[in-house]
Amino acid sequence: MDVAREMRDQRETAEEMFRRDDLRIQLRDKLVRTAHMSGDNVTESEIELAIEQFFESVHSYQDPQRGLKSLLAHCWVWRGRLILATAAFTTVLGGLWFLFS
Amino acid sequence: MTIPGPTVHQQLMDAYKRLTEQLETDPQNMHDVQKEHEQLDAERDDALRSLAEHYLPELTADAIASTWQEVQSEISTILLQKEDENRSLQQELKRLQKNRAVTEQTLVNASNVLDAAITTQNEVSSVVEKRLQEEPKFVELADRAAIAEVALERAESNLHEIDQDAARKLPSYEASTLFQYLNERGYGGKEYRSRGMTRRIDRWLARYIDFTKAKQGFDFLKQTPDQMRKIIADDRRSLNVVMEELERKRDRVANALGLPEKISLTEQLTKDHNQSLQTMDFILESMKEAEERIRDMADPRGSHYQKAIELFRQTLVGFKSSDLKKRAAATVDDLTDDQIVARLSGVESDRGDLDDATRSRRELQKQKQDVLEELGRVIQRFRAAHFDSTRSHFVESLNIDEEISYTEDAEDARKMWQKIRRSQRWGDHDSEEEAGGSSLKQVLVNAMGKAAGDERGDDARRAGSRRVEYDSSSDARSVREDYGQE
Repeated sequence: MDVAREMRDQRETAEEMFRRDDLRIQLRDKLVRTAHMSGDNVTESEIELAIEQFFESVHSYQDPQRGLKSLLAHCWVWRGRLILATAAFTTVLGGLWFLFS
Repeated sequence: MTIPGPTVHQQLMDAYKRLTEQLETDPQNMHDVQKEHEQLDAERDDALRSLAEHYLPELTADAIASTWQEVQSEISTILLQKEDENRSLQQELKRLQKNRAVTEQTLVNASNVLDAAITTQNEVSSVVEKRLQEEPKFVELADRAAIAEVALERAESNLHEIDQDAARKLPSYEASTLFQYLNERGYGGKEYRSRGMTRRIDRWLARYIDFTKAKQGFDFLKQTPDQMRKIIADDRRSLNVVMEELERKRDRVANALGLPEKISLTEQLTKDHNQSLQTMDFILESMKEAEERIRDMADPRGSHYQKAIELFRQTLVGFKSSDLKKRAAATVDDLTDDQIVARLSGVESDRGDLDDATRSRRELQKQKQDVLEELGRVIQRFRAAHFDSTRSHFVESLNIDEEISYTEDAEDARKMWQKIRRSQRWGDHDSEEEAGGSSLKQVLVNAMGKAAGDERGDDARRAGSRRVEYDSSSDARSVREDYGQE
């Protein structure tokens, strides 16, 4: 049932995408109407730019800003490699101490 | 004051190099002479051709009758060939003209038949279209096909846009370590198995990067284009079914009215019409060639005339200038041939002068070659006698450059070697022993030099040196004989 539902959802999404040009037209109408109501004097090219920016931002991804949280998140993701490197470094250090002490 | 041996050796080497360079430049000069030869030959040919043209101004029976007897028969043959060729060309032209008339008529008929066939085909096509338009089922199917086509075109355009979107946005998902970590672990799905602390930290990470929204975007960009392609393929198949049904209906009506036969007849007639056009082009091209050849025949100075002139020229080549002059002088009223013969004589005279100059230049080159070879031998002897040693000296009066400038042949070069030998002196006793190459003979040379005193010492040494040089093999024998006598 879940598989059937997911397939139906995907098809609906795909069919929705076939009306992407309609969406663009609707968006333009809405922007023009809003500008009229608020009394803004916007040009066609400005509206087109706004629509392009909208479509550009939809479904796009960007990692969060760099900082302490980002560092901690990366440390967590690479924890396996970090533990392995620390263990190797400690072994080398211990070996040197054992040889020269 | 004497000249050291190495200096004289160097002077000899320089002279050898200089002579070699001079010899190398000679082939270039010879090449120029050859060019001049070719130019004079061309001028001679030109003069002979002018003479031939003067004696045979055109290729007609009258002109041949008044020209030289030696060439009359051969030139008459050329004239007969020309006339014969002209006759056959005229016949060929007539035949082509007849063919053209026939082909033109064929072409007109083919055009008329083709036009009629096209008109009939168009009429039948109109009837078929009309009947199909009147059929409600056909109209409905055609409308459906048109709507489906518009929808498909729109879907393909949107798919293209989504494809571009995915290609632009997916790389940022794939490059993100944090997103890929959660996605690969299946976070948010059934396959995610972590518990306890790991689960809590993963949940914090998912909130931190807003994984749920990112995952939706990622899945959308990954799956939607493929899904759209599948839908488009399904719709295209459905449209093809409709189109096949439409074609069946069209074929039924068209067959009933005989449209396929009309179309194949039109195609066959078009092919025949094109064939006639090609034949016509070929005939026109052949006619053009034949007319050009006939024009050439009509020209009294055409290709046959040029052939006759070439033959005449080749005959004139076998005559001496003096004979040509006599012949020209015989035509008292005509001065033109005298002028041409005079020009020819001038060219031949120039050619003779050039031949003499070339011959003397070749001889000079041979002499230079001999001198160079002899100079090479002098240098070999010079070295063999160790005259290039630092202890070897030459009298101040010896001037190699001057000697070389006086050297004209191999004999002069041989004399130069004698002069070099006479001018040579050894620096001291020790060196002479070394230089002689035979200690016993050198003792003889030194002893002769000292015994002869100051005035004739040098002559005596040279006499001894000559024995050293030419009879060194006698050393061992003489020593053995000396010991034997003792």
